[in-house]
Amino acid sequence: MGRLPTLRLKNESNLMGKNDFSKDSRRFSQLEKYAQDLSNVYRSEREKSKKLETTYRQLEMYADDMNKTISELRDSNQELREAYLDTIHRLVLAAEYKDEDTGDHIIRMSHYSALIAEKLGLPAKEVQNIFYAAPMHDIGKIGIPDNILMKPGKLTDEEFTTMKNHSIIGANLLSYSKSEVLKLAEEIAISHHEKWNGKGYPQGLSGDKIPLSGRIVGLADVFDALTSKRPYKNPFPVEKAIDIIKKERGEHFDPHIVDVFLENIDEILSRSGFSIGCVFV
Amino acid sequence: MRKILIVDDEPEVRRLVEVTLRSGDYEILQAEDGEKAIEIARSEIPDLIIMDVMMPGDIDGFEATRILKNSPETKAITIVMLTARGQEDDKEKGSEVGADDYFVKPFSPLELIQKIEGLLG
Repeated sequence: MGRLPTLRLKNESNLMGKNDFSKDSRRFSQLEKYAQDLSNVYRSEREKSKKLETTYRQLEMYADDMNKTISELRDSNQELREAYLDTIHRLVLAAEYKDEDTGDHIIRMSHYSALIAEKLGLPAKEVQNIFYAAPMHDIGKIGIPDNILMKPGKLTDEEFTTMKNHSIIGANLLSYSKSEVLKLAEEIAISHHEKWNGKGYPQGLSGDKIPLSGRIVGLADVFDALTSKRPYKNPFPVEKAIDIIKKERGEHFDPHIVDVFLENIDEILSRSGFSIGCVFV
Repeated sequence: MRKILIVDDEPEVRRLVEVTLRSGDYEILQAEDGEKAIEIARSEIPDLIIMDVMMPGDIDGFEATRILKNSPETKAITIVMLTARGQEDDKEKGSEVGADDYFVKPFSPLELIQKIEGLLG
């Protein structure tokens, strides 16, 4: 707008006659029209950018709320997961209560199982699932009569046959779940007493036919039983337990898992001192 | 299903509010000016109206609210005014014409959802 008077003066200085003047006047009014249009365009651009700014501010509000919602969702998912795992843990403790009231065995053997799984190179998620599922391996003992479950001496053949049912009862209790952890727990419950040589129970599976989870937990379970006090025995020294495991390499246990277990025995033993508080959640 | 009428001259804003309220179980109606708002409010009797203040035409948000709140058949409808940030006078004027609540633009979608859930009970 500020340039217009200058233009006009320049035109006026070229004045030669009336015709030229009216020509210039027409030119000028054309220029004025352009200036007017320019001003309109400028105003509409300013309005547009103002509107765009408002839109961006609104968008920012949405982004803020989205972040808030996502973080709240994450927190409540975490809380739900913790409550879920804590509930499983307490159910396992309830099932084991007659055997031992601290749950130390299941906590140690879960750590052993997870460590073996990790050293075998399983993905982190599977290692974690094994850690949470392993404690449920003996949950079927809840269906075994007390006089057999708590008998201090050796079981008769008949009693032992009844005792063997705990793996089937456990798998039944855990069956038809949608949860990955519970599905794995079912697999472990049914297979943790199978033996590499096919002489285990309940199905007498051998070698690779036994699920990997069952082979891992089977070893962790036996190792902890050997090194712990039981109603019928005192704890064996670690060396003696290792000897027994070595002897059962390729018999009771998967030879590869035994090798990995023995290679990492120091780290495994260092994990045996866990207390309840630091295990779940 | 609860009925909500969204009144705003900008279709983008109406759409934004509609999408935001989609998480709830609402039937959404729309009007682009004060006149249409009154017409739809009278025929549909929504449970709640979200009313923009600044709208072109003879009837702005305040006037539409005043008319609806003064008619026996529409005065029970809950009306929430949408006011631009910084226009503090709008809130007072809104309550003068009978609006039940107000909301500031740009709005927080979470707060909008909460406010509407609160008002509809």
